Amino acid sequence: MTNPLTGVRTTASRRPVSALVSLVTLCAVSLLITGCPTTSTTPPATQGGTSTVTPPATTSNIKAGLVTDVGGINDKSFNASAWDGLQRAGKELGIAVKFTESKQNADYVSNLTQYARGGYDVVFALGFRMQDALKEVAPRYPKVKFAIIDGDAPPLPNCAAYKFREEQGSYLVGALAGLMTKSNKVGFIGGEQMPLIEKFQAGYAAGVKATNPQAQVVVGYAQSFVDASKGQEIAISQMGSGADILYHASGNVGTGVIKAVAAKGTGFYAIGVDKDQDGDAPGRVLTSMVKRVDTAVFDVCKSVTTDSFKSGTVTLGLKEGGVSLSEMKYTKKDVPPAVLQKIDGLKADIIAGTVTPPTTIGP
Amino acid sequence: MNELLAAAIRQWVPLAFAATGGVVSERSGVVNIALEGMMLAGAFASVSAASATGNTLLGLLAGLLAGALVGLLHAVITQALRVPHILSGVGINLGMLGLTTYALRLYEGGGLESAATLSYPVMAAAAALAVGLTTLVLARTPLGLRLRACGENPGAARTAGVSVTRVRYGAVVASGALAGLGGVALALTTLGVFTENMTAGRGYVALAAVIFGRWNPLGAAATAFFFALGDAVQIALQTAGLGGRIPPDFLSLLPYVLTLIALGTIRSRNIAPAALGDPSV
Repeated sequence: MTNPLTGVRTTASRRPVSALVSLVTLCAVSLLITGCPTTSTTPPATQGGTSTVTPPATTSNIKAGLVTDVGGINDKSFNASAWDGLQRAGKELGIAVKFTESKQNADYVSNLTQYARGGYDVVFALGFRMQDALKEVAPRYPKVKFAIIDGDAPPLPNCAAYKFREEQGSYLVGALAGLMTKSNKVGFIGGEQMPLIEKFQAGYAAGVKATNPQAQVVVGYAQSFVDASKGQEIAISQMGSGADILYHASGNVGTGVIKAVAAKGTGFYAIGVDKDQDGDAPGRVLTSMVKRVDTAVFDVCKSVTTDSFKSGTVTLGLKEGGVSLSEMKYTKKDVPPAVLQKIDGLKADIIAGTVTPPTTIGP
Repeated sequence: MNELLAAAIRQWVPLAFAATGGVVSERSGVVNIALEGMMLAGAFASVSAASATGNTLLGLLAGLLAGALVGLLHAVITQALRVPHILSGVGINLGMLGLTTYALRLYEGGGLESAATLSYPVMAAAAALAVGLTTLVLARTPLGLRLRACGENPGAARTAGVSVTRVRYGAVVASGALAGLGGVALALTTLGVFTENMTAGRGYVALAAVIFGRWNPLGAAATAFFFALGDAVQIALQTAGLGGRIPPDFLSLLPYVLTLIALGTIRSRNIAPAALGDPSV
């Protein structure tokens, strides 16, 4: 910058420019590092060291893309399960698959658009948080099929919504907890408090009450789906108050819950969610309420390859195999056969429609 | 009551380390919102090293070093490249979130765990020691005086023959090491697991403790304890069954609201370091 009075070039001109240059460099570097939003075809270390998802020797040229919510592909539950399903579709149906992680809610529209414009045939939106983004993107790309998991889809011929009856599976684990508790006190740990998580809580509480009317359910919310340490603290607090079986619906917060229960040892159980988490602490995770997100994703891919994609809402419950209890590989021996029979009976009742678990918590 | 206190101390330890680190950096004149990224790096490195070697001490060292390295990065960006401190902090936090998430992916099954863990009493004692030592060094030693001079009046410090750049490099690296220990305390103490973004904003809470604690290690540690106690109370209230009547979101807001009220009613001069955020070298 030249001083207009003296005509002397001042050194001050150097600073803003060099600051600007370093600023831009920093931004570029941090973007490079974060890769935000991360796009990758590297599987998040699923079945031991699979390094590629490009289908081997197939003829199908269908491409499927998946956009995660802010929980990330590595959440060991919802998103990870969806990616499992897509990878299976990649292998068995011979389609090309890819995922993109959303780091924040503002990424959803751009991430969906990126796939829609990139010539993908089917795009998955994971989580109810993406409802609005889907509403915005789907009408602009009528040739692309969109499927949202756990959320509502706009009424368009290229959109499908897959939902799960979480309250049914939660009712069964609640019934099991009610029969297995020694202290007549069990716990529920939720991530953020919202209708979807309250569905887990409502079903669970009803299940506990069905098999053990005296039992009390203590409830704790972490206001987070990532804070494992907070999950540990809530679990310690609930176990300290006498609860001996803790069911979580809280993503990675549950990692801390399972750790805390495992540390407390015999006499205490955690109940996993979304994926089969029984192996996370063998013997200490009583069962897991498995949501077959992978099956839903696989089915959609299959319908696209056979040109039979259906729009509208599909709800998967116990009947459809959309939710189920884990096989209880490590704990089955600790559960009396009469208890397992009772659970099977309740499952049959729900499927028959004689028992309808609630979806909302009472006042 | 004892359980509540124990829970509060457990949650205090990571915050105390990070807040102490924040004080050291800011008193030298370098704004440090990168505490979050430093904690995250420390958490990841500690579990990663402990899981590989089975040795918690090596895990602790790795966490400390990782934090210090991130501190060095913050020092280079703010001092050598003269990037505004806040900008560097935001970049580092985003960068560390991306980097640790990516690194976590490289582990089979997407999980990173260490069977060996540190114990809370030891880490709590270490945190108290860090707070005490930092207070002593800042208030009673020539080094502390020089560090504070760099934060109050770097021009005068330079005139007196102090290398402001060197002092700030040292302060920010030490700050990173302390925040890294905060990450170690979070991930490797009893939990023994690293999960994506597991610091969940604790670095920012620690920075708030620095500011509410008036840039004083004892004040910051006390404020951090207040936050931790508030969180422990909030969890205990939920367990006691109050969650149904009062929204849990409101309960978790409590410690912060109380701190604001306390600060608003206690009359005190603003004692932020005069040259905080100063880009000059």
